[in-house]
Amino acid sequence: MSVLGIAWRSIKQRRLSSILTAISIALGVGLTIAIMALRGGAESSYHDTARGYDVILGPTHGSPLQIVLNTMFHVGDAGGTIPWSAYEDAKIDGQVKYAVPYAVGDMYRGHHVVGTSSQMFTALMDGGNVPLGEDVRGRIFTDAKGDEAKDDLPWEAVVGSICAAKTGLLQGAEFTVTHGTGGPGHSEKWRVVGVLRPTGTPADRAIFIPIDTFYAVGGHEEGAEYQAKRKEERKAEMDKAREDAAKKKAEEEKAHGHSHGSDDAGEDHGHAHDDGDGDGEDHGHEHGTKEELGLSAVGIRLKSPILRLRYRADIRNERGPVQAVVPQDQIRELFDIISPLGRLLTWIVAMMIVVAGIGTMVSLYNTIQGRRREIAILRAVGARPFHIFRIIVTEALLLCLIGGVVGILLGHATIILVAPYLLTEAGVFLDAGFGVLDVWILLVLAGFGVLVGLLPALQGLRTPVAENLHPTE
Amino acid sequence: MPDATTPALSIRDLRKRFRDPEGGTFLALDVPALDVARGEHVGVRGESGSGKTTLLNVIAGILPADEGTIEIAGERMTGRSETARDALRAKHIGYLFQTFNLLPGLTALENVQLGMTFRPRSGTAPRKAAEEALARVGLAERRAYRPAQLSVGQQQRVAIARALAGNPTLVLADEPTSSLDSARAAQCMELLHEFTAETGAALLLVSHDERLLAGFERVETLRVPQPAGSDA
Repeated sequence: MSVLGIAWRSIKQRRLSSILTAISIALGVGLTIAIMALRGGAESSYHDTARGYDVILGPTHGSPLQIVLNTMFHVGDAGGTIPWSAYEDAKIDGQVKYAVPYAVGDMYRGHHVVGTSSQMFTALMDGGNVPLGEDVRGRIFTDAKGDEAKDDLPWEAVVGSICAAKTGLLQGAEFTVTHGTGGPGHSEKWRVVGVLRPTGTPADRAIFIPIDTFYAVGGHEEGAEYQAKRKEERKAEMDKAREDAAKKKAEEEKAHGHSHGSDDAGEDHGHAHDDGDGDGEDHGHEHGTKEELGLSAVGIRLKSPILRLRYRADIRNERGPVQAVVPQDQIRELFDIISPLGRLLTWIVAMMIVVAGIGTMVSLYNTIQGRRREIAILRAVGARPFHIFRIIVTEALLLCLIGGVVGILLGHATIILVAPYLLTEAGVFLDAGFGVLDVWILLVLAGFGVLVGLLPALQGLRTPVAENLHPTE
Repeated sequence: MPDATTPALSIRDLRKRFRDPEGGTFLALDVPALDVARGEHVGVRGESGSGKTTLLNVIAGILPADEGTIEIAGERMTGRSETARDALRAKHIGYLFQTFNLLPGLTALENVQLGMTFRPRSGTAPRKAAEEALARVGLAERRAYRPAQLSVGQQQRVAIARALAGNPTLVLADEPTSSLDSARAAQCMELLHEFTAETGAALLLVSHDERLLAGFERVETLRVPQPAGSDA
């Protein structure tokens, strides 16, 4: 029987105390692993996503972080609009490899509906550098040519994997959208032509439609900064128009054939544009208003990331209503703000392991008193002091390692359990696989086990043999 | 160099003192000379306070001697460090205790194995030797039992197996049958004599029970140290 065997049997003999000690260590380790995975997952998810574009063009008065979060993470509001010309200019800029337009504001059952171009599926990639457009169930939507009538536009949609799972929007399904969360509904229907593979990116939670169809929907001027100004002017005009030509206005609205189903849609959605005679179409929407309404943002992938500074300077020098934001800088700044809290949390949890380790030490130390006879017997049958030392330190080591292994399993099980929720709700991809961190934790725990075993072991060494073996005559 | 004719135990002018509550010391053990040949069975009688258990503890190196010399199979026990005494004990001595001193968390087989864990490896694998020793004391079927699951007599047989497994040079036995009734005590002593003879080990048994000592070819008497030895 080896020293390890004797130590193991001693642990088994004090089963309850050993289990409780190991559990306290396991909880600390499990929490540490889960929190570190969460931190790492959140950081890598955000950084991976932020790498999608070198620069994002957004409104000058919008917060750079807001622009990045809205464009790349589909979170929050756009914060304003930029002129359509910014996109046109970017497309012909020699430094630009991809320019991807974004127009947002519509929702489908809590999921952002993003008007964009099919180029987005080539420009953006997942964490493994595979374009989002690869392995799509179905196909990517078709971009509009730009001169179609409303009914001829490609009313198609590509749905992110999580969104598809949650909403049931699978290939062939048709859906309508609302303006904003809980806003009025639009009557236009899109048909799902493709569902993205799970990419572990925010795209999994969104719905993508051809940008021209976005503009073909009435009411999208609402919410845009441009329209906010226009609304005031229009209100005055409309008040006057109501007095002068109430009947005519009613006829015009009827002629629009707009079926938004909302009584106030005509006013709030700006469907009162005098466009019915403009293009002679029956759809009653302002085609071609993208120049007027502008975009939420433009994602820019440059021919080389080295061009970032120059491109930003170019945009700044133009002194237009557009600012160039580097997503990676914004995400880095975001994590600079929140990472001290994450580190603090990790430290607090790590302290739990230390406390559990001290508990192991106290538990072992206290048992030494009750094990004096056992130690004396071991000595009497030939165990040297270093054998006793090794047995007690091995017990502490085993308890820490058992707690560590259980904690690692517990931590990874927790990650497996919460990963789908976090991916769905926060777009954070957690890797539940075992890694170097687990090995490090076991190594640190091994050292820690030896350390917490030292004091009880030293006390064990001082156990007088003859006195505890049997009373001296 | 020790050879086959070297005594299993040789003691000369051995004295051991303990501290008394008043801060002085008293002589607890005084053995002018004692030799035990290899394979010899020697009984030691002594009244209470004569230092019987102390004698065994000092021979085993559990307690250091204050004066005199002890040699086990020609190797000096006295004058060595605690660790060196432990090593010599592990190498040469099997100890049979009054209260058996089996570890409650270990099975019968593991308790017997424990006796060899700290001994230098001999030819036979410890587990096999332990199984053989347990079989020799008639407990092969109880190898997986813990001490609490065994009768008192069976516990003592496990203790005998532990003391003799691994072929020690010298077996020290301290009132080994005091917990047993007379019938079981007789069986136990018979087993101890036979098993010790089979292994060729010398046996030094201390007891105040004359019936027990009657079976020994040689019995020495340990006397209570004289007050003249007191330093208090």
